[in-house]
Amino acid sequence: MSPPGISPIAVTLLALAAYWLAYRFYAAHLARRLFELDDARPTPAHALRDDTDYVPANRYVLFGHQFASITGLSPMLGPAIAVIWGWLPALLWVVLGAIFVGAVQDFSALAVSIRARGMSIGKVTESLVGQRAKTLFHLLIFFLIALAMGVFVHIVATLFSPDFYPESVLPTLALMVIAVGMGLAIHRLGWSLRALTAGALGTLLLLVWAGTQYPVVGPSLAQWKWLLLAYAFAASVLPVWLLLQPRDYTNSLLLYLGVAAMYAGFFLTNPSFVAPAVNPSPAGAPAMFPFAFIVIACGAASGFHALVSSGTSAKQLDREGDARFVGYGAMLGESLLGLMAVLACTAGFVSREAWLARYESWQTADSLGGNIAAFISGTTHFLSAVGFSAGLASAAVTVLIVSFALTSIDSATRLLRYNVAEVGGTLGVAPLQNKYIASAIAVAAIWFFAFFQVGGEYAGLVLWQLFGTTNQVLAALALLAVTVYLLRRGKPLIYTLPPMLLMLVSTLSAMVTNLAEFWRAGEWILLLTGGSIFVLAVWLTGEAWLAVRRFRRRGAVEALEVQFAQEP
Amino acid sequence: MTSERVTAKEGPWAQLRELLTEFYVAPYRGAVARARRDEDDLFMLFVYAEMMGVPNPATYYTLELQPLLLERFHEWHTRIGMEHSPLDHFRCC
Repeated sequence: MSPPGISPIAVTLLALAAYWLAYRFYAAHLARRLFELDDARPTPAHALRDDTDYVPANRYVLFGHQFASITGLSPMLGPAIAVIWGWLPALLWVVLGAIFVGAVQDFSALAVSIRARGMSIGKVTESLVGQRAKTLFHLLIFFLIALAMGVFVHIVATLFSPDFYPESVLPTLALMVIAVGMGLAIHRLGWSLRALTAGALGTLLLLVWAGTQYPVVGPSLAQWKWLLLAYAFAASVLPVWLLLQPRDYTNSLLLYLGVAAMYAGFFLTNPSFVAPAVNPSPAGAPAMFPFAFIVIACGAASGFHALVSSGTSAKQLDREGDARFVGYGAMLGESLLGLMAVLACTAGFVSREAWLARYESWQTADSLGGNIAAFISGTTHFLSAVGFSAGLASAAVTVLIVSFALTSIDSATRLLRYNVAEVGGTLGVAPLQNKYIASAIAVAAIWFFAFFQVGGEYAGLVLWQLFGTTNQVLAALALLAVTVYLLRRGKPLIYTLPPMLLMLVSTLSAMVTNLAEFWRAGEWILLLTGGSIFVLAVWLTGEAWLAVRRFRRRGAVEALEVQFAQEP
Repeated sequence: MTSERVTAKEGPWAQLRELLTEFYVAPYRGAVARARRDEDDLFMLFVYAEMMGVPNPATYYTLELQPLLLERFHEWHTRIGMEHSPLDHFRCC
């Protein structure tokens, strides 16, 4: 039971103060002491400027882009599951994890990448650890993306079903049409973006209202999944300017508006915690350690972010000093959303009974759609304080969530497609480089996880844990790459080594527990999938260890700089 | 779509416009530029098709464009993997 008198607002203010202190002092210390960021030194955006990939961009624009790219469905879903152990563990991991692990990882990936001519973390790993490591890294990323997108497809299909939020279907579909219209108006007709933005957001709001009047209740869960997979295929092969670019843009604006409205509503509502502070052993749930660290991936720490930091943002940073704002700051922004999810799922319920009905045992909480619905109902409760009616608020939050999931799905399918094409190029299999064939393979991988069942039921939480472990393994590996870099530069390892070890130990121990469980239950496909991820993770760690030993024999800081400078 | 630098003197609306435009353009600048380049490459192929022995019913019109595209010719043939000009009677480098 929560001690009486602990107000969610007080806890939130403390968390906000912690974020501010961390950004102001800890991140500044890392920038100065660890990476020696210097505004006088030209960034890749200046040194290699080509007006295509390498272009110096405004720091606020980059922050907005980084924030929107790393924020998907996950920071809302993870905490919505993990509050089963009470609000305190989830909140501590979201806040402290972001400050000491997640933001450090995002920031350091960005800082190392700008020193390495804007190379992606995969390339950086290759330079630091070796060619094999890069291939292993790509394989892990393939697993990670396919798994997460399979889960996302399932969640969106669930939210569209008549039992949940069919009122979100109309505005979600309309948003796609609006995006295509916007893409055409901008690129073909040269219309003003400012007017289009206002028009798109206004129309969307009207459509959210229209959705509540005309809910779409036709297709079944499986049919929605097929439709979403077809959409993923189409989005992957369409030109980026037609769908992806305007969708991403409107979505990002929706995100900022949504988060601001949720926090405004939360402070105006002044709710109380209905969940216990700590619920050490809910019925049927795995151990809090390490599983709370696995269930909440994004929002606290996520390996996927290193890809965004090191790939796109690093090539556009105007000054080295901006890395703190863009890398560290954007992760704190995502953590804010994770914090909102914790608050919505512990203080947004009307009563303790309602909370218990959802979180009494691992079995009652074992529905990903249901967990997202808990987040939606919590934030709806908050939003009603800023003047939204309950129906409109829940529809608006659902549209926000679904749009996020869909944007992730369409950009991720494209990423998978590139991944397949790259493998095709390496193996010399030309058809794999065809965009339709590569997209079809990418969609097939997502399909596998979108329909994956255990004992006649959708695998749900099991897949989410697999995603969490893969993502956290990737975070550990990104931190490992940074640690090896720091070691080669003779810098202190205290800032990256402990978080890396924490991530590695928690993920590997969770994996071993899960694998033993799969073995006992005779779930061979899960055992194979989880086992492959486990082997990849251990193998990569081994490769990194060998690289450290090699370096100890002959390493020098200059050799590293030369190596980085020579990479394309 | 290109963005033009706006100074603070031009007021908050102009700054907002630039910020929004940058926000729209920046994440996809590379991808859009590459897509445009691919389209341009295909167009080059149409314009020089006849010279490479591929019948082109629009030669009469594309011939006019050749001097205009000459500046980009070198970049194009090197990018598509031909070190020198592929055309015997059309020297480049």
